[in-house]
Amino acid sequence: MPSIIVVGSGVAGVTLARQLLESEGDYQVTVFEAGPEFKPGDYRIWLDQVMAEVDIYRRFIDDPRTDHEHFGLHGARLFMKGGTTNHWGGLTPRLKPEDFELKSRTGFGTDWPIGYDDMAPYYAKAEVLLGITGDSDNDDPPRYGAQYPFPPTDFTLGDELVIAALRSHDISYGHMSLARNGDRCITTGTCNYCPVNARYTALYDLAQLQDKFPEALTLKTESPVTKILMDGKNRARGVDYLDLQTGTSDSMEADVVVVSSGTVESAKLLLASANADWADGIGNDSGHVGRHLIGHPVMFAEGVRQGNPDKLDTELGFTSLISRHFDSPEYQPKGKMWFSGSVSANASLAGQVRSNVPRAAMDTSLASEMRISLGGEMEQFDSPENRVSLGSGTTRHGLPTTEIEVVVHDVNVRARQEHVDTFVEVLKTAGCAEDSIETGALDPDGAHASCTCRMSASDGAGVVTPDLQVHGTDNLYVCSNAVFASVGAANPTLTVSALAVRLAEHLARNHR
Amino acid sequence: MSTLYIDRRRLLQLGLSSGVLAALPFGCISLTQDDSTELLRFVSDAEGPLDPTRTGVLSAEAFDALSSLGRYVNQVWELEADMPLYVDRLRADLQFKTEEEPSYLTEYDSAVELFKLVEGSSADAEQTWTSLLFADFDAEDFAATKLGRARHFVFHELIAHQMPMSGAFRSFGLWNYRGHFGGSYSAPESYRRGGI
Repeated sequence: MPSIIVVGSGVAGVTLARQLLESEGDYQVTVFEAGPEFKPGDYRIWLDQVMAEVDIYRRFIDDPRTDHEHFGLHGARLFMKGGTTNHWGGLTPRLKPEDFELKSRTGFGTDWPIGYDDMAPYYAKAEVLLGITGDSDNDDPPRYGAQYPFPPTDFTLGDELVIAALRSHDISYGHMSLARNGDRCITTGTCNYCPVNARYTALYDLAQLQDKFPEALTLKTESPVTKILMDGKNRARGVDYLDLQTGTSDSMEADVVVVSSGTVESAKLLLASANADWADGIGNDSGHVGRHLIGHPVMFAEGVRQGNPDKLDTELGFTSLISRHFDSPEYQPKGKMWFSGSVSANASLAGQVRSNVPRAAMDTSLASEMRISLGGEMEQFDSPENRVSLGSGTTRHGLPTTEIEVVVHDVNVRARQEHVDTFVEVLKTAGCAEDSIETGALDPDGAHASCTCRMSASDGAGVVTPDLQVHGTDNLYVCSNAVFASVGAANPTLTVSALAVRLAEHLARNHR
Repeated sequence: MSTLYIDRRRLLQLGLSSGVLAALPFGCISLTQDDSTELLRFVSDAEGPLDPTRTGVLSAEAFDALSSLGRYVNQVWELEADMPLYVDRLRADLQFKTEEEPSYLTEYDSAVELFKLVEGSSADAEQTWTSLLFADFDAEDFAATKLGRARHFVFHELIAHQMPMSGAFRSFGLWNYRGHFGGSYSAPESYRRGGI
């Protein structure tokens, strides 16, 4: 019975655990999670979210005790059972074929050592596992006949306004692919905590696995892993971890160790595990651990269009429209971008009642105008300064504090402004007065952080092999956004899920 | 054009409703000096509900007092909701709030005390609720007073509950509202199809 330690209970670790437990490998899987337990689909928690209008995840957000951090980790990640999928948007676009050839096509960053066609079958499997709604007829990127488990969300009437403007500018659009179970969703608009577990969370997925495999699966919450233990240079023996409830430390041994604790913590754990054989951290003889950190710069524009006789509002709580027009080979040299749009009204009814706004004034306000919003994310190119390293303190989760340095490449900054200018033109076409339009941009943050343990064909160019095995080791793997060679414009969750499925097959072949 | 400051949560939920109109006072507010003293009594600045482990059943009398807020809002804002149906839903949901931790039982009991206090010096329920919801006090640490906490933890939460759960949003011409259990995903009757 092979024993596997998985560090981290986010989507990567849980997808891997599911694939292993449901295989014929008779695996014993232990998942370590630094954060605490939480209940999925709990009516009371959901009720508090609706009534109190508070962030129910506030006690799980990143520790503010971060050293020299220039990346916005605070609030981006969640330290809890299920990890950051608890508050993710559920957006699941695939990377495109050209994303795997960044260096060859643009001169920036590096190429992946695997291609889109290597990933395509695993994307298809991950789309089923995550319960994704999407347009199976959209072959950009190619789907090779793979069907989403659920059809796409219908466009709303608000989408129709945005779409008309996009058409005027010859900007292509399509249905957003979303990790939202079509058989369960009741369109309650509270996707941040779904009362019926329709939006995918690793929290619910893991809870199901615990019920199904009570003997083969062990979850250790509030148990941050502090060090990977090695037997010699090549073989991982297990991990050291803390029990935050008792304040004690302990260790566990296993046949295989998989680090799935996100881009920042995965790199930090390798660095913190330095020993006599790996003086600069495990897998870091080439100096790549923690380097190449990138995320997604974002941009946003919003304008006011007079009149809203149909009282168009967001209605769904998630977006059903996406344009990948600029997420294409043509725009790759400057930084690819996808964006979405929506229409909203001044429909904070409860807030207006609480403020004693008379009914007639509320009706007038609702019908008087609508806000049209466009927002997108773009590819970031690697810069030499970008890196994550160990801070000098300890967080409340028992992990080392973080030092981060990230700069946004000038090419990306210029392209981001071009994209914002495009948004403004689209909004004007959609009927927004020019003087009503506000724009904004944000540098990347921890939400889509990637590439700190990037995969490479040779041990001098990266940290893990194309099979996610740490170069120079026999049984130590990294499975997180950290292994991406680049991140394109697409949200990374589907890609890391596909990599987890792929890793499970590798482990089944090599660690029975 | 001006610069707009946003956060990523907003980007994920594009198009959330923006802002609230300035308050336009109406209705009659009448409070005695004794009322005000009790209303403004310092209680606690705790961020969560008081006595969160004190679980139990809300008394019928207390529930009647709290549910009268729904009738007041329904009437004054002409929401046209099916109130008997909504009150049943409210009763069930307040059970979750008082019988599970963190329990709101102490906050509810305290709010009901205020309701009874102000009811005694008011002409009718409308005046009682108008006073409790909208009386303006220039009090230091108002949020930590008995009334401040009642507004935050009880009255405002009940109004937030009423809009989706009673279907009141429909009277404004909206087809869906955050917290409303709409149609199924495969038959989305709760929102309008775009027809594209």
